[in-house]
Amino acid sequence: MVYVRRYLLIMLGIMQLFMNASEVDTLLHEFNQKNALSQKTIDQNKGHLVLYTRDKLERMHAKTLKDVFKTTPVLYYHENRYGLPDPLTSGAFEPYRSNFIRIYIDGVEATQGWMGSGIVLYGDINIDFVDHIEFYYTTPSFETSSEPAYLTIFLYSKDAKRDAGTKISMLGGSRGYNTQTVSSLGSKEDVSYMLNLSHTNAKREKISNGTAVPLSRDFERTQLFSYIKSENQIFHLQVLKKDADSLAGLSLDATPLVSETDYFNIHADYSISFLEHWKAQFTYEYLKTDIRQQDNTLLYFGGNALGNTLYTHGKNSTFTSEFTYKNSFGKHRITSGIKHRLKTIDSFDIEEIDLSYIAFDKENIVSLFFQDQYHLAENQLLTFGTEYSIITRNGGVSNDRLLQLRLGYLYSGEKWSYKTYIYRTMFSLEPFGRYLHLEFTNSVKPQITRGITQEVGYKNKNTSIRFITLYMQDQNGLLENNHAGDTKYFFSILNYNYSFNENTVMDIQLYNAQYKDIGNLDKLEDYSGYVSLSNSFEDWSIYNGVVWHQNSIDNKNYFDLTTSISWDINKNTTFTLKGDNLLNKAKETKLFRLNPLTGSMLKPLSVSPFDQRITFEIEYTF
Amino acid sequence: MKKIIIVLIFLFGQLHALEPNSTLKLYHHLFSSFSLKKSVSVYVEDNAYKNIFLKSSYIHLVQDIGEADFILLTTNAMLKKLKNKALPKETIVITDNYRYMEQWSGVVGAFYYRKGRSQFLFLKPRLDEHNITLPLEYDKYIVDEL
Repeated sequence: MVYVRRYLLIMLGIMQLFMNASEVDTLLHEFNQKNALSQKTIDQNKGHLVLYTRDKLERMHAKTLKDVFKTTPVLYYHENRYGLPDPLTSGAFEPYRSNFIRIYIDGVEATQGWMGSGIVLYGDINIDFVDHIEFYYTTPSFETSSEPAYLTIFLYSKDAKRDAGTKISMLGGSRGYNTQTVSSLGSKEDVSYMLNLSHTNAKREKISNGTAVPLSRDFERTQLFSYIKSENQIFHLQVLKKDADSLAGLSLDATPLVSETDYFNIHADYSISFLEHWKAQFTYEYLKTDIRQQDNTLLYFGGNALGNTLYTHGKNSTFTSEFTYKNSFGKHRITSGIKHRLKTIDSFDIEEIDLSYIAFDKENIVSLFFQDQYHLAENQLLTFGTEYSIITRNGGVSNDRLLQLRLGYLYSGEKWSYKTYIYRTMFSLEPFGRYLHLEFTNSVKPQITRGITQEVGYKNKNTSIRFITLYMQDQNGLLENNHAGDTKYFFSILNYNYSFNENTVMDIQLYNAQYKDIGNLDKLEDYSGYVSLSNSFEDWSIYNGVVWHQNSIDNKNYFDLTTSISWDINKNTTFTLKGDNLLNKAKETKLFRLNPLTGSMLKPLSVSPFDQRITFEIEYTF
Repeated sequence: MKKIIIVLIFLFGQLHALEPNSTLKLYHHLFSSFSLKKSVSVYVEDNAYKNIFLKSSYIHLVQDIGEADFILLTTNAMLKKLKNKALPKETIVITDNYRYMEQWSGVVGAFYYRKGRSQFLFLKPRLDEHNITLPLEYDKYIVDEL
């Protein structure tokens, strides 16, 4: 704590050096604020927004979504016992838990279909292709979501006009961690394109498990992001190949002899707007997964013993079609549409186990939605939305009908703003969980989450302050809950942002969460904070950010300090030195273990998803 | 911001649009730092800029390059055209793309995007050629060479 306080005082001192603003600096500041691309994609009706502008991402030297996700309130970055991004993980023996979080790229959802949310692969992707990121809390606007969520993450790609040209970057760091990125953006007449190819060889910290073979979560990832777009059409193609070590995997005592998974993912989508008010969008996604697990005791998944060795090969596809209509009638702004999503498991083989008797291999979701935004006055809006979904499954698995409701009021004055939502959201169990647990085929009721949120904001030329409260209550919770009561959540978030001038910005965030009846706990309290200072001066820019966490489980304080310094050697070349988790005190979570022979609990391992790492990067644009 | 901003645009098609007020303020400041005239004539081909400059009483758009006090260079095609044209010495060429400054010595300054932030850049030898002395607040944006 003393180190952090001293550090902040030194940084405040440095900041004072850069605080003189001329009239032209003030105009530049205003221009940059009002012309950020995010100003054109923000939809206040999507929920409570946490925005990472291009400027902020550049200042943070954020290279992966994980660098950003670790600073967000309420749901922050975590990895599960398979080493996968899973912010809602408890560290226990559970399938993927973060299907309540959905991710979108340029407004199109990236999903893993049968497996669930796209976060599983995209939660820590290289964000070199990204211009800005929007996190929206509460159930989202129905025009964007095919499936329910209470956090939606929108990544928007760079603009081919503003970022025209080619960029090459090379990054190297601790333990041999390295990333190479090539990016090209351009436009000709009314057509623009982007190609962004990156390769990451992530050599990460090993986790000691008391054996000669520590747990590994290294991975090698090759990622392509591309688009071609015109005035009213856009086509995206994303390809991602990730060969990963899967940490503890299916080993109950976290001592696997082999724990590896290879992923191959394709995402392609096409959108067209036509007849002034209509938009059509078609998306195809494919995921191939090869899992290799081996232990000297029995492997377990969801309580089922699987032998000492497990090799699985899975392929699944997702097709999504959407038709949306938008128009204004007097003070009403109507948005309505129909969506269809088909998830199929093309194949799933577990070597030496016959799964052919499972007939469940298709899930269809058909949704109709309607939204009305009614302008009560020039600066007041009343918004109402409803969505009805019919989910049908083959193979004798039960169907679901989901009804979502959402009512909101928004006020936006010159300095003050206010926003409130009341909603009812229904979630059904994802198909992969049903497929592997046939006892769940007919017995899982959809979860109903009811919530109310409020947000009060104030801003002037240099300052913005915001206070958000969220209250939610689950009924028929899908996340395992051994207590009789429904889980209740209360969150409060305070944000403070101050721009000393165009070059010096400070952000402060405080967050508190109180849970009742969550997991095996009657009560859980969670606190976190985030302070960042960024300065730029002539050819240099400096960023310092500290994320703090504490919860009532162990009342231990965790600090994740990120520091970077960047030097523009010339207009084409930039050199960056960055340190992540410099204090090596970043948030850790428990990875629970069982003795596979006796079933008794072993001492859990403490695992932080944030490695202590120093990196050097050189970027060249031409 | 008196009107509530509920942006309901489709993702594509409108991303290049500039915010008029802040853009005008900035170009007013820039042009008035170069010229003491009560109004300035500007040649620009980009429609986004044209639409914004039309709202100004200080900026007067011209169709003929030869009549312009300022030329705002925004495209490759325009660059090729200007390179082959003899411009009056008083005419000042500004660009919104830093690379055009590298490619043609006729460009005096740039107001361009880099890593998500707009910034100015002026070349001292080229300012000197036009006998221009910018206000002190622009000093940090003036370099001796690229």
